[in-house]
Amino acid sequence: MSQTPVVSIIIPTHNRRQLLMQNLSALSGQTYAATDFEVLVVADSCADDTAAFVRAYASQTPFRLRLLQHSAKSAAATRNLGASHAEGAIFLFLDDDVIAQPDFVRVHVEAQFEDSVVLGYSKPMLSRRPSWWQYDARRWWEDTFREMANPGHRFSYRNFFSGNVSMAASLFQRVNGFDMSFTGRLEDYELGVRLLKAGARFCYVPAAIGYHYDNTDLARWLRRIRQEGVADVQIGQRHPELRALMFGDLSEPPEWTLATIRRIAFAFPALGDMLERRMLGVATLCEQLKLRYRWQQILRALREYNYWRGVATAIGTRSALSSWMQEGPVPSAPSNNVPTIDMVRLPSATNLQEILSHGTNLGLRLLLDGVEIMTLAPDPGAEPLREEHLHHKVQQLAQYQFVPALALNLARSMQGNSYAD
Amino acid sequence: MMWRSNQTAVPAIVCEVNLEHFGQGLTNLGDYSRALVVFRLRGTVVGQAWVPVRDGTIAADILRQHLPALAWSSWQQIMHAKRQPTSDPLVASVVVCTRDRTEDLSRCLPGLQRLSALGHEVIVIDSCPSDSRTAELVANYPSIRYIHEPRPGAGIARNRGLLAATKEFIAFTDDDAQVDAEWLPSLLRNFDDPLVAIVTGITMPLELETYAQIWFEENHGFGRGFVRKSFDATTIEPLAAGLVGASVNMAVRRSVLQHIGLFDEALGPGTPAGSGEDHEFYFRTLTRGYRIVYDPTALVWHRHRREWDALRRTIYGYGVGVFAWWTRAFLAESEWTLLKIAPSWFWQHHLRNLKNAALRRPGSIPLDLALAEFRGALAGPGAYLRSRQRLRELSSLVPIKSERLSVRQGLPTLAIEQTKLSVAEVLEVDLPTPRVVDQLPTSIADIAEEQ
Repeated sequence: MSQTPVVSIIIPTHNRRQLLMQNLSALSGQTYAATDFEVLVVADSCADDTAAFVRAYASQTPFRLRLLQHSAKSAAATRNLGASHAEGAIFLFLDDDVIAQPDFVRVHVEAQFEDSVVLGYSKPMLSRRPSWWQYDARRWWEDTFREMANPGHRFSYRNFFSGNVSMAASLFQRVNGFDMSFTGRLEDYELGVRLLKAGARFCYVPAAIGYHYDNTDLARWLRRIRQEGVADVQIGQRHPELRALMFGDLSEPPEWTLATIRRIAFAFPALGDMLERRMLGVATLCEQLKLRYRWQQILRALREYNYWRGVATAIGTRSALSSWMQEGPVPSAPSNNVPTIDMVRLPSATNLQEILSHGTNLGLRLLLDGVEIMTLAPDPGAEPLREEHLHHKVQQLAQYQFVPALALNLARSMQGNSYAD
Repeated sequence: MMWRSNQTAVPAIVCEVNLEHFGQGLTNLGDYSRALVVFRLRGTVVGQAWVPVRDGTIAADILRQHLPALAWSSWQQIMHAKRQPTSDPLVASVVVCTRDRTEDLSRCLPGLQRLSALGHEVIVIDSCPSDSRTAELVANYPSIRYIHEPRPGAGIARNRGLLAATKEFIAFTDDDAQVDAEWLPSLLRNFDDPLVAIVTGITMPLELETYAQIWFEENHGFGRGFVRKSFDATTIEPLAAGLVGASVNMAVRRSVLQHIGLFDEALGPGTPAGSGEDHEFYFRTLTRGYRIVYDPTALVWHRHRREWDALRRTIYGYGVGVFAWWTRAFLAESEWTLLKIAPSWFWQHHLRNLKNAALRRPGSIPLDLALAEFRGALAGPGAYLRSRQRLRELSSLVPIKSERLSVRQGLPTLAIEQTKLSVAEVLEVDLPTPRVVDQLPTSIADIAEEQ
């Protein structure tokens, strides 16, 4: 136990003793050498006997197990506390409800490269009798991971999930860790923004499998959505360039139902909260009566309401939001400023790199012999644009539109292999 | 035979055209006056067309006229093939359930034997046979496993296959079908999405010699189009699960059975319920949050019923089956919307068909078929309850449970989970207890639930 560990696994926990013990026992059965990693359990405001159990377990584990405790009621502070005591060169953040599979730690370690952020696969597991919302959530998670597995996926801060992620300790310290002012939600997204700005390369490693026993349900999820509304404003305050991305073009009215919901969230919170409780009851009834379509409609409305209620709490009125948006950078530059690539006259490799680097911030237009076939909007929350991102986008588009794909194939055949690979 | 007098029961020839080289068109089509042309691109079907035959030939120009209609499906399949990750080919178990159709089965088995040569496991379930001919036939194929199932019913036979299979993916086809060379790999490659529980494929007619076969192909058929589709409970109403395919051509992911359960043994051909075991299984798959993919690159050729009486029985069975499995969905799954959906379907589909057929409106179906389907629909709910009663009697004769629960080599133990049946309890109906495959760390799942 005297040697310095390679990996520090940081597990924040809050009153989930049984699941935590499963988690720790899964870490005891790793294919990675147990002497090469340490585990830090950081208990935040635990009222159950978590501490006693972890202490008792510490003598049995093949790895070094340490317990830290505080009462911050904040995931950001809890993870930072763990990181400040960690001694490994790699930090692996693991949630207490994610049960590591035997290769988990080894895969995380082997996937590391310079400035990498290794995102693992938290496979959603359902309880015995899942609710409709839990089925929906599983689909969302699986689809998100599948999209991230695509070689041309362009990572954004919204792919940074702190439940199953590892990075060099030096990288984490360089960006100063999690922002402690985030007490509710999305402290991971915010760290993701700063990591991307610091030049970190996100990569998704599907072999780093943890089974995720999430017990969230509809009502709790809606509370989280509300916290996310608050947190998005916070992210926008720290990173003004993301405001337009998150809150869209406010002058453009969405469809009237959504517009009404948004208006209620800002102007009539008491009425809105009352309606929200009613609608939650109706949603439960719909589930019992198996009215699937109605249930989906209500869920969309509830989601919209809670998100904007959160935004309203953080920022006040609609006019305050508008003026706050004005302070941020102007969303998109006029179209003649946007870099373009004409597939029939492909630029040379070095020029292409330059265009792509401009396109990262300004957006990009793809032309075929002067005809525009695709526009990429600027995405300041995503990683720098690379060639494979374009391939992926075109291919996605091609599924339903002939022309861009034919153009891509045409351009490839005309230019030999200079563009492909 | 009044109802048939105005119909044109002209036999048609089924022929294939490869888009890569159809050069001179089709020749040597014999005396047929029309053809169902099946177009293939790179081996997979991308479309079909009814084409008149002149002097035993179809000119290339006539075929070419149909090309624009194939563009979209061709494109979709090219894009889909491109998207597929290159991973190791999966191995699967292939299950064929058969009952006293040895002659059909003898045409089905050679294709399956080729699959077993590639490392797949092939199992024939001989469902309640009246003689030993099927057993003798399968004995000629040493690589094909033969299992005798004494109790009749497609649900029972399919469950027997599911439990006997040793691979993670289990494909089903029927004894009156013949699988295409690329059938199995085409089904299996769709399982790269962990939420895909079932994959179905396209089913084309093997022959169109009689009016019964032509009518079935033109009006019912198994065709679900030539473009890949992905279904889940948000994109399709699970009670319309018949739209996603049929058990003549499908594959199941074994590990999801613990959430979905097995086939309902009171449904399907060979039971009073007539059909529906596959659609009810799809329904549960969708309501459990899984996906079903329809992939038209997985092709099976099916010999439709030749005789009109057999067709009428089939149509009657379809009518019974829908309302039988809806009865189950209502009783066991508390699908209250059926109180609205079932009567309106009965009204808009069955009654209207019957009325149009009686008035001989253009485009209406033959009266005896409309009547058969109508009578089937009326009989459906009662047939389901009768079928359950019969199943209880069968299981008291044959000690199935101990046999079913035997642990097979390398496979997880099977346990029975009692499903809470709210409506059923009220009505005091004995409803199926889905058998559940227990293999995942349920202890943790329980813990997660407690919290």
